[in-house]
Amino acid sequence: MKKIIVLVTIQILFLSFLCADMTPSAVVLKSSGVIELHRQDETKNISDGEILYSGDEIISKEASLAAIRFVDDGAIIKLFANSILTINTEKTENRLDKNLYLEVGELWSKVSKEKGTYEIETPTAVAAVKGTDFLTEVKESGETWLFTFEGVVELKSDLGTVEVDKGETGVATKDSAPSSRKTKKGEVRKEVKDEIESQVETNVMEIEFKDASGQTKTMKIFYK
Amino acid sequence: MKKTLAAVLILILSATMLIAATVETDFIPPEFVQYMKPLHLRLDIIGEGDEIEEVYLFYKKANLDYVQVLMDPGVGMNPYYDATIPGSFIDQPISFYFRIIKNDMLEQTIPGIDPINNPYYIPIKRSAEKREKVDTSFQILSPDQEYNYQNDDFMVAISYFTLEDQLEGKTIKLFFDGKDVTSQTTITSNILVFKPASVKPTTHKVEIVIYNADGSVFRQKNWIVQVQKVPTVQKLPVSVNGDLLIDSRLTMYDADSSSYYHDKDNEFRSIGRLRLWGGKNWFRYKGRIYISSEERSTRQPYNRYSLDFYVPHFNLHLGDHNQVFSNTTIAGKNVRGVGGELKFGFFKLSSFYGQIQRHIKGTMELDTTDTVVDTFFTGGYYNRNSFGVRMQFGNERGFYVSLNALKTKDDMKSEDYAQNPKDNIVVGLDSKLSLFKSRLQFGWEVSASLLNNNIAPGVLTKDKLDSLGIDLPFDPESLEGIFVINQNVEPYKLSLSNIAAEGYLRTFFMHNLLNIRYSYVGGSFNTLANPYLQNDKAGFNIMDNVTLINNQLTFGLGYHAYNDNIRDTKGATTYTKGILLNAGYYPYKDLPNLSMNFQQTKITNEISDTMYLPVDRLNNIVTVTTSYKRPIHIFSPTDTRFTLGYSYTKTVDQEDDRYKYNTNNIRFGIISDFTEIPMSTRLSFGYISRDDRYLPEGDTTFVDTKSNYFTVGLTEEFRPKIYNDGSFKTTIGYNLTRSTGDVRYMKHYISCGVHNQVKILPSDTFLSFELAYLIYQDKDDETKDYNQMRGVLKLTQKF
Repeated sequence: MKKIIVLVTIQILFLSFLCADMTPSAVVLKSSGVIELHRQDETKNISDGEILYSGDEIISKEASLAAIRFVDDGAIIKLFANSILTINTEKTENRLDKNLYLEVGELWSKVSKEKGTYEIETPTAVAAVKGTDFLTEVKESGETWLFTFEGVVELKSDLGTVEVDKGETGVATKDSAPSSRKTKKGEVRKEVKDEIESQVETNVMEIEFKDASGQTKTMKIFYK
Repeated sequence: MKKTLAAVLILILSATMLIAATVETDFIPPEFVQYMKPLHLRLDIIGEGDEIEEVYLFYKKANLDYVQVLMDPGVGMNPYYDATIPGSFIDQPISFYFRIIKNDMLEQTIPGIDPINNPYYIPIKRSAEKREKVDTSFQILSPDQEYNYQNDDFMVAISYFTLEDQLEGKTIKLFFDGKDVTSQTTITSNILVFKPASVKPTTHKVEIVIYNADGSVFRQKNWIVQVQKVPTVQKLPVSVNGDLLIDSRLTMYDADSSSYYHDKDNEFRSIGRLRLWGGKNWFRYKGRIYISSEERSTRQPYNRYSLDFYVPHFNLHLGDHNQVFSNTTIAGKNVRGVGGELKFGFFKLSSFYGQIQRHIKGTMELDTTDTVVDTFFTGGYYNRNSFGVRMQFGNERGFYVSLNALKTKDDMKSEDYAQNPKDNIVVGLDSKLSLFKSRLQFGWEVSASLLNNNIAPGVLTKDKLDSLGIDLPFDPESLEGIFVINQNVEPYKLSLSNIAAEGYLRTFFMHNLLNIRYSYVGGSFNTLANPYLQNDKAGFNIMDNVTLINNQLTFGLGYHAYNDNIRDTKGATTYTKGILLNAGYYPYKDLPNLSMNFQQTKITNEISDTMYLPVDRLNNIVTVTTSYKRPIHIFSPTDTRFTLGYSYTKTVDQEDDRYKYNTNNIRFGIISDFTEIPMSTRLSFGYISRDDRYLPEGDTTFVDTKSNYFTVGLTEEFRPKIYNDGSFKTTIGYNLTRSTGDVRYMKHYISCGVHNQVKILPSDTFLSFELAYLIYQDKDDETKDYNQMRGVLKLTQKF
């Protein structure tokens, strides 16, 4: 009987843990091509507006792209074709700490300074940042390549740590400590570069005003 | 005597060209740029600016590549070009420089010294304004500026992440344009998502309300969002970009019947230019059509037509294109024909065939009315065809060596009334070594030429050679297809006189740019494909420029020395020596700018033949300019800049009084840009005193004149915000020039112009119209009075 009680208690605790973990982490703003979502035992194709939870695994197929924004507005990411990403988040007070696992492929991140921690783990390294703009690429061999466009990213593995500054490329392999150097022309694929740069072509203007009833409203104007 | 005069004239023209070739500009870089705020840059041109074809702005941030922008020419009396770096680009310090393309296809950059590695650098300044505390309870995640703001993919996503722990027992409702759409909304513990089935491209109101259990409002927020219409874009197999420029100018005169201007025809000049470029993947193309009303069959072409294709390893140029092999073969000459470059690794083959001179019809009329037959002959021009091959081994960024061969020949069949058809062969070798990312460059070239000044008599036959007692190891007739050999070949004997050689060293280390160049062009060296290369001239040029404190402090020192008659074949040798000194201080802080230039040229000749006239001429030019910018309140806050410039030019010839020339030029200007109202004011004062000497027609005594010119000008530019998606500006100006002394006149110049940027097509259209009226009143001779009206209409369409 005791065993049953213990088992039931463990199961309840496990289910409570699962329920607690089922907190939305992000929303898919835009997807193109085929993006698969693996959530526990469920697999489905993602569409725009899909809400993502901690533990979700996203697989992008050939010629696909997904743009995802986190609920705390602390980061926006773009997952490029042929990539596998797992999203893990944890809320601490009013911050959302994000820990992403990029198994393979390319992921661009733009991270806001004031929000929670942001880390990308790969099979060979961990990239930890605070407020930056960078691209992470995990090759088939497991090698991690990191291109920093803005700010500084700390790239660390079991073999060492390196800071990858703006305009630099960091490389981490299974057998050697991470290293960094100047980014060479053409290292970032043109399609990826174009997609990343397309983001800055649109501007947003926010205007706060009060209507006749004295209510404060915000107008967002998007312009190119 | 004629040769001496011609040589002196060429030297004077060369010196004039050197001075005239530089476009004088007025530009002070801003102290800083505001974070994410657009940066307007304006390059003022001192002078008419007629020699400018177009001006480009190159800007970049961090280690990214430069972005190239065609600057927009301004309207009004004072020519200028402006461009804007978009605010979205400015999240880091900005570097930029200007590139001026002149009508003669030469280029000038500002800064002038190695602008790519040494551009203007403007630090960024973040706004110090205090931000109001924003309610962060709600975050609107969508619509997003990149993804979900168009009518086909519109979506509302609102995060209330920070309220998550306070929502127990509360109800969330979403209203879209006042309608409750909660039932169609996915609501979770910290985010909601609403995707309307359809949405019109206009403004919409989004409202989120969280109610307490008792029905009272816990939190609430509204947004007005703008939904954009999805543009329907016709996809072409290749991308197409381009611009169209139409520039028309009409000048009309009005004067009394006694005036020279009374019968003067109206002048109309118009040009049209269409440029297209684009591509897909590995394919690129570029096309250009330039049509001018100046095109005449009686002169060399003004119109230009070109089409270029670029694929990996191969470039093809059709129509008008510039060819550059080396300075002593062909450099920048327009070729109308076909050209191409084939490149594989370290090997590059360049070749072209086409016309470098168009045939112009000559005439010959015989007057047989009298017993003596008069002949009126107007010489024409032959078609001059050129064929060139260049083989390059190596890499431009490292080391290369090239072999050049050029054949140019007049087509005698193309014209009946032209004289002295020519044949020319040039072969050469050139090489360049670049080290330390091109900071050290060493190059040299050597070429040899053969010129036949008149191939009309045909090739020398074996019999003719025998009769002249000339023994050649080959039969000239067998080589006729390669080069026509007859008595007009220059040089008659191969020697150093038919060689041209150049060597140069360029280093750029520690902000110090050093250029050393030596050139030797033999008296019998001729390349018809580079008519600007003066033969029988040797000398060197050294120029050293230092820039310090991020371009704020510059120093330059130069010296050149050339002489002609290098093989002592003339009765006089002309020496030209010159020094150049300049210094400039351009602080970004609130301090005045200062620049100083000194240029001295001395031309002398050494005469061994009494038929030549002596020359001992000294020309000095001193220029000092200072400007100061500070904010001043003139009924509204302004950024006001004061400019004071002084230049002094003096030319004296110890042997010949005709060349005495003296000017003093003082100019003072105030430019006020109103920072809170869209307006700028330009006020300028100028004073020039001039001493001239000239020989009146039919007289033998020189006359000295002394004149003073006073000018005052006022220009107002308004930039009212008439259109939301365009720019509009209008200019009015008045300029008065009064001359006193030996030349006395009064000149009023009134101008007005409008310039508008509109969107006729989906991309930008620029439209300018300028009208100017000139009244000229001569104080001594009323018959010289005239009025002139000038209209300029300019349309630029980008697509």
